[in-house]
Amino acid sequence: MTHTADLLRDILVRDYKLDATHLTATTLLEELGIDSLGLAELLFIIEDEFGISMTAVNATGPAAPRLATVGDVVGAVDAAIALRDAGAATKPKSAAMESVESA
Amino acid sequence: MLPIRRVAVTGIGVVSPLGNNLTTVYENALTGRSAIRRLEAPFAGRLTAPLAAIATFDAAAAHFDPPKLRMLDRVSQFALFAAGGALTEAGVRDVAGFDPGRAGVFVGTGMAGTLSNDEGYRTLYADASDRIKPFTILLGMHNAPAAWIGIEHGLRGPNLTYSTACSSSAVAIGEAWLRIAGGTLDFAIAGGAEAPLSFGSLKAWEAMHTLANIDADDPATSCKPFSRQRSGMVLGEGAAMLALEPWDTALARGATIHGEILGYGLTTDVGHITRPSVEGQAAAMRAALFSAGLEASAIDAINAHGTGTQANDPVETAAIKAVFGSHAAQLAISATKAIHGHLLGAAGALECVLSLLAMQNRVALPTMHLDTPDPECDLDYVPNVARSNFAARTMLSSSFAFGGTNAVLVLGRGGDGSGA
Repeated sequence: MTHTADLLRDILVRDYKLDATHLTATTLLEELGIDSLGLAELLFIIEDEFGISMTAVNATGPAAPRLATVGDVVGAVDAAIALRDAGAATKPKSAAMESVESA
Repeated sequence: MLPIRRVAVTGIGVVSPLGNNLTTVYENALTGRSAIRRLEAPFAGRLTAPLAAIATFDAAAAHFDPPKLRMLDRVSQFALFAAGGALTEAGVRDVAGFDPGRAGVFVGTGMAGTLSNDEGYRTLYADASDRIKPFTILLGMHNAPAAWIGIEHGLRGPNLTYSTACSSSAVAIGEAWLRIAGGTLDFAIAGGAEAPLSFGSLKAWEAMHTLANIDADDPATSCKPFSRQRSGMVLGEGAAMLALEPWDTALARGATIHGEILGYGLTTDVGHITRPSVEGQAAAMRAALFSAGLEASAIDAINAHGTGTQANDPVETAAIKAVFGSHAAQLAISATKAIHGHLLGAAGALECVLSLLAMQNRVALPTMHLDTPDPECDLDYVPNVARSNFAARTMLSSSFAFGGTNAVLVLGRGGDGSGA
């Protein structure tokens, strides 16, 4: 498995209490109890852990391609890492705080 | 309204500062073992009087599915655990034997997912981060505890959440009773859940000047209902749920009956948003008696609202006298918040459970930490020691709320001594 796959597996074991031996690239997220709503949260955790933006690689939002398997998620994360390393994926500024401070 | 059908309590589930099973809860209530402690939390140093009654609860032991657990605020975890306990005790798995469409969920909560909301605010405002959790809405919404119970157990009838502050769960039980008694529902999980011990919530309650000072000699005794030394309430957390069904159904299927809901009175003070009123509380007690078709003299005991605040206790005493007249002195009045704290939206349900347990065991539960009588509170509060061989047939359980919603349940021991 790749480094990304290892880290994703660690998250799934740690936060979702899943059995690592049952996690392969073709494992369906639905089988793990992670539906589309759960995927939104998983991607949120991944963003924090990897320091990447999944939005920047179109992995979230209504137009995003469906990430059905563990392998799909690994692929999207690798794409986001590549974008981050290319310096294109920057964290959005905190618009909410600015509006509070200026109010 | 006079009920068409008698309503039995066939299951009870609890998560509470007094314990998470009925035996432990009852033993602690009987012996007056207070669960109130100095609050150990990172923010405790910023509270004037860091006190709380915490429920010792291990989510892992409750066997929630890990992906689902991520969507459950502590308040929903409590609610699910208590509802599961009530259904198991009732011997009703997945409402088998009942029409799921005529089985409902009625939950009271005052602050629902305040812990999750507090965490979200900390992220946004304290950490100045936009990384608020994707599940924050699901965790924080008021109807989450009820919704999860419906999902988990397949109850497809009404799924309702009541938020009338400190009377929320008495209202929830009363509204469920109305539907079962009236014939529109055949089964209900009814009760309340509260997990209010967030920093934001505790500071807000502190700012209201309603919380107790710490008793320097023994923090566990800080809440002193009906005592002249009372200084306020202590927040607690937990959930209590009842399984309710028609009496005849319960008998027919051989269910164990823990007691009976005999009536429910609901009135609203319209004078002030927080100040309790003798008239409002008395009106709720009278309405409850009327709904049960009982004279005041037929009531043997009361689980009082009894918060231990300066404002409530003399008003409640006067209201009891106004309703019961000379019979007031004969009533055994228990204020159990002294040991389990004020569970806000879950308080009425927990106190309903304690009342049912007291009647089953033929005791009057003590009002603890009542060493110095208040001349304005001069009824029989069963001070400090439980009264055994007290065979109450009927009790009131009173809950009076900020916002002015006064809810009173009339409870019967069930069986031969139901009083119905």
